[in-house]
Amino acid sequence: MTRLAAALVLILAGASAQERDEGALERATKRAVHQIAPGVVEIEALGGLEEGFQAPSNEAEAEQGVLAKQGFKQPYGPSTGVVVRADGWILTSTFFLRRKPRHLIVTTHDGKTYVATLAGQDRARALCLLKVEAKDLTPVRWAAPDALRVGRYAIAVGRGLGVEHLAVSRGIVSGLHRIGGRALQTSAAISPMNYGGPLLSLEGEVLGILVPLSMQGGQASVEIYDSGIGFAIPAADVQAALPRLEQATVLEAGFLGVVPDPLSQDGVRVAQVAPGSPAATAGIQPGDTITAVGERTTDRAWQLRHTLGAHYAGDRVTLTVSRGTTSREVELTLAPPPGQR
Amino acid sequence: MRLAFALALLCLAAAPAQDAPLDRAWQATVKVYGAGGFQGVPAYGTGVIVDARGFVLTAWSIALRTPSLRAVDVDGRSYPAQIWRADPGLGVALLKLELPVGGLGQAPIELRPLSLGRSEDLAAGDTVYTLGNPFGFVYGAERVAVQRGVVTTVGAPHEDARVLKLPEQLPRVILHDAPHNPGTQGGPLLTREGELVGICGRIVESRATNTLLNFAVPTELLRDFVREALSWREARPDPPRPPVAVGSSAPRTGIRLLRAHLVRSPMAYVERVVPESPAAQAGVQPDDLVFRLGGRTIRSCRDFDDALEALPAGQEVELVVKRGPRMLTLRLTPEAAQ
Repeated sequence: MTRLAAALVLILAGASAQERDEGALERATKRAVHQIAPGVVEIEALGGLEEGFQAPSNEAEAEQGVLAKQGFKQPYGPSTGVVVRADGWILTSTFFLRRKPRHLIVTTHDGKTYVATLAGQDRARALCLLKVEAKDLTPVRWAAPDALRVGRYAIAVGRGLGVEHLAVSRGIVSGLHRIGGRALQTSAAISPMNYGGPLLSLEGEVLGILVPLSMQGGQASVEIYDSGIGFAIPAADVQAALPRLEQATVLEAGFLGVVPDPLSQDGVRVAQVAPGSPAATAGIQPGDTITAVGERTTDRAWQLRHTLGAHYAGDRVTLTVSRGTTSREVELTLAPPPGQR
Repeated sequence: MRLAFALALLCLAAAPAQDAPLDRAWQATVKVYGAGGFQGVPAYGTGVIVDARGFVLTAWSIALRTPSLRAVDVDGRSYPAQIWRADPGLGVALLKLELPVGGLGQAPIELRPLSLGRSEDLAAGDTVYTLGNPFGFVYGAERVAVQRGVVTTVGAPHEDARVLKLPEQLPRVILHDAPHNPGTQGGPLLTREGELVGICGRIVESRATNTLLNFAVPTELLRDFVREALSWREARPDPPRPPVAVGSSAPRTGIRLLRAHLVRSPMAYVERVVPESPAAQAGVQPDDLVFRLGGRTIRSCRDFDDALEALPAGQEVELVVKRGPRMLTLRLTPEAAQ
């Protein structure tokens, strides 16, 4: 009866379907943010390199000084993290690690502060795991993989603004399998303010962790901020990496060392092989065709990129390689990217 | 059946050309044209009619300082305008439009103002709309552009000035994620219901987070400004002088920090604690790293000095220090400086 009366009032007020939906969306957004709040922490990284100093992350960057040229300054403000286990495990992005900070201090939603130590890092996904001495933190809830769908609403939250409350921005899931298949893309406003923070579904579950990746590879720089292009590591991939990160492992992207012919079809034709790379050591030569990685067939170059993107340096993979009319299986160990060995 | 028909009629009668809440705000929004186009200051902006006598609230900008200041209303009528009251500290200005005197057989112009709503209840996640003239590409009777977003946060920018520093002296600002372009400044920030809750400011860059942020001045800070200015008989376009900084009056704590002479201000390590001082009573020890003082995060000795300046003497505050692998929360009561 009350529902009927409410509906009548809406009709009489001339409320359109959009106005009603907007109200529901607003309530759902606020509920999701309210639910996640205890699981989102603020991280202060103190000391380390000079303000505004841009530390190169690898030799190539050091040589080119790409980011320095763009005038990109390493921010020194607070960052955001997510409680993944009640006993003090906190996941965040590696963004602030480039400053090589001397102290990491975590502030939980109730204002308690903890000294954090760095456990593992996933450099391919710009994630790292911190440990604090705590027993009763509130972990976030992960969304089931099928909740991650392009076009659905996505809410980015962060604590990096230095204010009491969570900072919120909302967009949608814009794409999946970006950046070598490692990241999802969102239109929610992403910046150092919420790097390391969660990207939520309207149900308040974590779809992914916001990271400073960019399409060009390397770290995001200022030109894509607020442009409606942000990236997050999907919840399922984060969860898969957690056990290794807890062991203080440093995970690097897996490097094979072949330049594929972009026009490849029915197998990836190798255009070039990097000297000394795992591919070269395994005897792969220009002109060879890679038709599968493990069980997955690789008809085209992007399929090879995506399949390898899921692997880390040190992972053993089996490639099916054909040369002329013969086909053989090549087992090799992926290396860290050049410049990070 | 007859009831359903009546209801349908009611619905038709209530259905406007635009969504009703936005329509009201549209009627009250004007395009503002000043001088500028230099040093990245756009000559165009947006404003809101807040009084039918022709008073327009907009964002403060040096571009407003021109005798050729004009505003164009929703029907494309262009009015000469002057600054009636300016307050760079609040980041807003009130303009007075010169309305034409209605001649014989000419209907006087009726402006449809928007009254200041309540910004006090806004919270993160609330849907907001902005109306503005991005890049100045909306002309004449063309209606200004609508953008939708959510409130990112409502907070105090000076709580930790190094994180979010605005040239304005605002105790509270609304941050939102609706797209912001040059020309949006001065336009209304609206709730879903079309209530005016803020005036859009410029885009600000946070040096600490390297982030571009959109802010709006909440209407709760503007009520007195508007009310007072409306009671004036003439324009007073000169902005008030900023308060002159007085000498240091920081209270004493008895904490002596380790201050090396470096280019950058070092982290706030305690070198020595004055015996029987407030710090000694609080339990501060040498080698403690000061992390928070009175709610402010301390990243350097300079931050410590700034936070201390802001503390009232004789009042207990929270001091958070890192001692080895632990964080400690101490209670410190600074003494008045002598």
